[in-house]
Amino acid sequence: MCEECGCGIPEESKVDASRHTEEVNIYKSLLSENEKEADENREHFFKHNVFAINLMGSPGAGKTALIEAISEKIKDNYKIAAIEGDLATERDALRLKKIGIESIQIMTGSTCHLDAKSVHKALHHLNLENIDILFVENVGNLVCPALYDLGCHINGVLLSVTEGSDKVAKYPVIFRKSNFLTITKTDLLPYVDFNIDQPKKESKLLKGDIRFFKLSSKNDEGVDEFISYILEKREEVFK
Amino acid sequence: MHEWSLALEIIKSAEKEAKERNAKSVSEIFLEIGVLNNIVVEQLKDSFEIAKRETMLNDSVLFVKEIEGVAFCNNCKKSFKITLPFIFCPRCTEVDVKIEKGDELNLTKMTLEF
Repeated sequence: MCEECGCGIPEESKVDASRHTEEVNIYKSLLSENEKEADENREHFFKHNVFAINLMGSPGAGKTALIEAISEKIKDNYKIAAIEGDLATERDALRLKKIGIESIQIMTGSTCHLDAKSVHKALHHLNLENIDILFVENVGNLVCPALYDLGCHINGVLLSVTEGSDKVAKYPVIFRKSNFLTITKTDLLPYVDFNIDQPKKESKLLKGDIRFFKLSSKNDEGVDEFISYILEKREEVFK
Repeated sequence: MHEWSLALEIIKSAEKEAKERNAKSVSEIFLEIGVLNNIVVEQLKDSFEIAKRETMLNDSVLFVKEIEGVAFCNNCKKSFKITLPFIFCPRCTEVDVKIEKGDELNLTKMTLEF
């Protein structure tokens, strides 16, 4: 029992000696199962020349809207598909299907992030031979998705101007695990107090080589630049 | 929030390791967690207490060793202690650094009952 407050939490190791016990050294990542599944996803992507992007961000950051905006622009030249993660409903997948994007919805139930296994299962429902670029839209959340490698080639966060410019330092892990930070809804900048230099500066202090973009899926500002980045990265992977 | 997800991962990993060794149950489990994961240890322990119920870890005690963050500055060629949340060299403010410690999320040791 904890001697300070008597709360019942043991402070030191106490093992009942009457039973046969054995101490074993393990030294293994707690996420080793997920890492194994992520490696499998990576293999699938490489084998079928699918460039995969893990899109993270808060609910309402504009993840689906950006996939729509990008798809509208490049779907004639690239075959695009999406895996949509949400707790419930198929709304996002249906939204993308409406504009001709092959998409599959993962409904996580109560889980607040996608993991490599759920993505792997979803991959079985997609015709990978027929995909050039795959967006994996994570569950809207700035915390948990950061822990789970999905096997995608690049990971990134969308941060909308309505969320506030102080969010990067508040949720450091997700930005540290990201290849890009994209500020969305820049068309709303005149109406909100959003200091665009703050997330730019703070994300660099979390990950020195993070790429920074700003765009509006609504008025198209900055979308082309972001598309160029994706296509460049794709070239790098499959050259 | 991710403490709960992590507690479930701990149970999953520990049960797998214990079963592979034909143990009946787990009485102690030791982790090392790097500070860069932003895990609140107290909250993780609370989540663990709930998550372990009716598993092989039902009567187990969780021990967590926290590992502080250390990075290597590619400019100064020296290591430095990371002061959260930002990661830059305190000598030259360089952000081109390599994380050496603080990313750990490991199951290090268990006491198994047979």
